[in-house]
Amino acid sequence: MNSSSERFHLNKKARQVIQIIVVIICVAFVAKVTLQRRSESRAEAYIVSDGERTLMNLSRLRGIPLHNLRTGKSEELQDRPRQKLRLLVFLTAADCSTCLSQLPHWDFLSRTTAIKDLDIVLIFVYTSQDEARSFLDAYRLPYDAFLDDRNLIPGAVGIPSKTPVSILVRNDYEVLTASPATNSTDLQRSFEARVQSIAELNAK
Amino acid sequence: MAKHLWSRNRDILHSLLSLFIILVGCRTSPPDPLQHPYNNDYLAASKRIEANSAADEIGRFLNNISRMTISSGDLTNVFRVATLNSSEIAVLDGGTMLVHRVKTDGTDVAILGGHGREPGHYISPSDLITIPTGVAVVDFTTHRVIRYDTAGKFAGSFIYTPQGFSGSRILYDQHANTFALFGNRWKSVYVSGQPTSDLVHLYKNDGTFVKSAFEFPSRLMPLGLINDDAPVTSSDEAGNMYFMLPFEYTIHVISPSGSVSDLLSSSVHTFHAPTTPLHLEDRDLAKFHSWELQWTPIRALVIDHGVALVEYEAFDRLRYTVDVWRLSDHTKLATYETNCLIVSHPNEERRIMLVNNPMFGGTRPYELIFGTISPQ
Repeated sequence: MNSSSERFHLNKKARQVIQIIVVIICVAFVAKVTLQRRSESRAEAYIVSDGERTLMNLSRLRGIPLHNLRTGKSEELQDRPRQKLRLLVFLTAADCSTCLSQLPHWDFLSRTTAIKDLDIVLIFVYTSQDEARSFLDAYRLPYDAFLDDRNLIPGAVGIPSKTPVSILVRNDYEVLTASPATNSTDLQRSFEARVQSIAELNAK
Repeated sequence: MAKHLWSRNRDILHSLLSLFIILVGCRTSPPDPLQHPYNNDYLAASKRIEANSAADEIGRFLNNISRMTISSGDLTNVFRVATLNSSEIAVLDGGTMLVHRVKTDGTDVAILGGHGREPGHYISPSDLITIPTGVAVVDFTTHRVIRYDTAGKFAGSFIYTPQGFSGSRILYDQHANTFALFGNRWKSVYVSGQPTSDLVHLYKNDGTFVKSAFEFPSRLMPLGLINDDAPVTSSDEAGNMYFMLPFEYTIHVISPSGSVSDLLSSSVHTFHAPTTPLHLEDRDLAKFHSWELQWTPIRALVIDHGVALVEYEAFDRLRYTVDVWRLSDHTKLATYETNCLIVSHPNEERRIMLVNNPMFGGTRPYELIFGTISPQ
């Protein structure tokens, strides 16, 4: 083989290697996007209230700095052991008429021994720090409480026009069940029962 | 043949024309009570009082009357006005549910705050009041009191959610730096575990809750009046706060300690209390207005240097009747008739603001009337 045909052969091999690398990169990229999408979709919840349908994507809570109303520090929601469940309650201190009827249900959930691995986390949106503190003081709520003081959650995660919205998630934000703002005792009890049964299954 | 063709075409034309008339004639939809909230009785009363407008006695109880036309075409239902600073007033419009900043020459400058759920915004502003640092607005829906400074900038807010009511009125005591909010729409409060129907709620300037007082009179419950109990309010130069329920001719006074007592109670022959119950189940505004026509709802109260003006909607010769009282000896000094509704508390110059025949389009573009209360 003369040198030009050798060069051609080498170039051909190099091209094949490059093609294989490109294909591998593409497959990896597609796989990553697919997995990410699947993980994101597991972290999504459609909240339907009064005919309004809002898509909330809980995975987007990652990277959002929140004001911890207990410590006064700015931090992201901390990772917890996977077996732990979290009931994220998105609420607005100012328009939370339905919060009043849901408070006893949160109390019930937090006191039930069968779901001792459940953390209740309040996340205040559309609320000033003074308003959130006033709310916590008035109701003497013992739960972790964070404030979206930079107003990032409505744009990134999505918030329905009526709060509170309660969403039961795993540590990786996989949504297990959710409840829109409601004054209906029946709906609240049904959500309570769902949370309990999921927590009991999780504990086994 | 030609004649026959013309005859056939004429028949077809007639048929098409008849069909068109039938179709057009059938295009009448049933009236929507929420779109047309005024029934015929109410509209007739409105026309009657407009026809009598020359008999308006506003000049007999107000001095130094001046008028201002607001340039904005958006205003449809001005019901509260407060002084923002020396050159601007804050105008609460129930039609747009916005608070407009209006210059004293009538130029609509901007919106104070705006619609929204975040601090500094509101959904259903129900009243506003001048405070030493600017203006405070109470929101019925988001259960907030929002403060704006004299430049119109958001200057802080507090929530009254935990007290379990929706605020319909607001007062400010400049001596004690205390807010009084009025409202009792919620029937139970989780925090106390007890049902409540207290109407008056006092807060410190920073929003710290002080106390609630004045339980809604149980004898009025059977008439369903708890659903239409937004009081009229006023305060005086000594820091006392006053209010009247729309359906009782009694002036209540709130002491600096927060206790409520009756200051003046009278049976005025031109005032009529409701006697038939209010039913709100079918949410029919026309029926509601019809029910209100059966009595004379109290619409405004002004306390100024020992004199009280009580304004109620009589739809008599004119729309409103104004009784003037001397508070020291509870003497009624005079009664006047007017089509103008008082929409503000007296400002530092003791001037009050009024709107001519609100909500009936009598003033469009909107005209505000200013004046000081005449010595009686």
